Amino acid sequence: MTSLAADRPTGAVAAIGGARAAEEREHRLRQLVDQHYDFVWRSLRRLGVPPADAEDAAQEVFVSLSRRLDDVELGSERGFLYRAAVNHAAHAHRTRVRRREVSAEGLEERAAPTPNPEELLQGSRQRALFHRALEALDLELRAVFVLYELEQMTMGEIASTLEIPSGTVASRLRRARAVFVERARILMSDASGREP
Amino acid sequence: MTEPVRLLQDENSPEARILLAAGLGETAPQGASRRALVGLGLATGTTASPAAPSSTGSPGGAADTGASSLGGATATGAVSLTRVLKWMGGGVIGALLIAQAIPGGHQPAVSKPTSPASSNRGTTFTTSAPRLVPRAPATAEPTAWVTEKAPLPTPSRSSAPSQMPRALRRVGAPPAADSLAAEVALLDEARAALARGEPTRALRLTERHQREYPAGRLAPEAFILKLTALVRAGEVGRARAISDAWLATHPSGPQADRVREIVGE
Repeated sequence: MTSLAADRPTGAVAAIGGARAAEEREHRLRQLVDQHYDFVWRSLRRLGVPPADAEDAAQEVFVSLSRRLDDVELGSERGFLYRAAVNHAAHAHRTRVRRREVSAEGLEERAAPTPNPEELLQGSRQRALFHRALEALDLELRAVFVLYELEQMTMGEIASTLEIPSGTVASRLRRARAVFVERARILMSDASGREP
Repeated sequence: MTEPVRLLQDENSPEARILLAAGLGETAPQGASRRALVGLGLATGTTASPAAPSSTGSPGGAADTGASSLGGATATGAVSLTRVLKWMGGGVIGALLIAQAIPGGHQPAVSKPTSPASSNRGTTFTTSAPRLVPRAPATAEPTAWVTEKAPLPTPSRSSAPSQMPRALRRVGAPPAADSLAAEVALLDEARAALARGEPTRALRLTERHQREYPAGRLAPEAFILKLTALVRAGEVGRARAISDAWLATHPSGPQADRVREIVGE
């Protein structure tokens, strides 16, 4: 356990700044995990990472942060983490698509029977529909949509987080909302069996 | 820049509201953040992080130990130890290898403070962004909420995931976000109770929602749940009475259709 701790990326900093710098760095990293782990995990889910992979993905995101911690400005860590999550989701999505070309197992989940109205009232079922509605959004739209609608960030904060122009945030959000609203309407309608 | 009304508060998009509200309740598995700390080689002691919950006053029962999943590095049960070993044995090393083999593979560009991209407020999003998601009320995960000293109005079985604090307050988060998260938590509890076949309990929870959040943003969802609970509890007459009153003012739309479906059961 201790040998692993010694091998982790703090070693580089310790060599430069000494043991005290390494301690401060560890303290900072620990605080960042405490403060942002849930944000990273749920962001990964909302960006399309399957539940079974989300914990490993979150771990990789924090490993990325750990390796770049000295370059990340105080106060901008959350943005770094989110962008890392988006990158991870993009990579994971490409991998899943490739797998799907070989095996059609991913399609079975989509072909699950639609729920009846009672099932609709159950949070888990609605949550499944929530993720299916999100799937209708391209990742770049979804990244904006999630921050605005679920994290309740302002558009200015989103521009800052994703390092894109405010106008781009506005246009992506507009498109994302239109798609999500329509998709949600269709999914709920299908699920309750009122419309084909 | 004009900010559109958020869909969670948009009366014109009920389906989107319902799905987004359901999505809000999804949280990381119990102990995941601690496993991440272990994976990073940092779980050697407790932390003084301001985000670490105190869990004081947690009304958790047998299934909800009240232990913090974030800060407490001392109480490691057999199950979490297994997961820790998993991380130590594979996940971490794998992740480190990946991270080192693909420099920058999953790493975003690092923003520099000299190029502020936003001029909207003096604060950064890190401190101002509300965090809306309660910590898994339906799965008895130890909560990261700080409870206010308000007793639960009704005693309940310790095994049920019903022990959500009556008033919830997230450290450092704006009241509006707290309120929404608490609403979601309460309704998740009600849904879970319905799913377990405990309609009277679900009914109590939805009525509590109506009492505590009479103008709550999830009032429509609470109403639907209440109707369902009434029907399942055999109180069809009462369900019809309140649905008739509601339909008199909301005669059309997807929500009205659902109301008719429920009382028509």
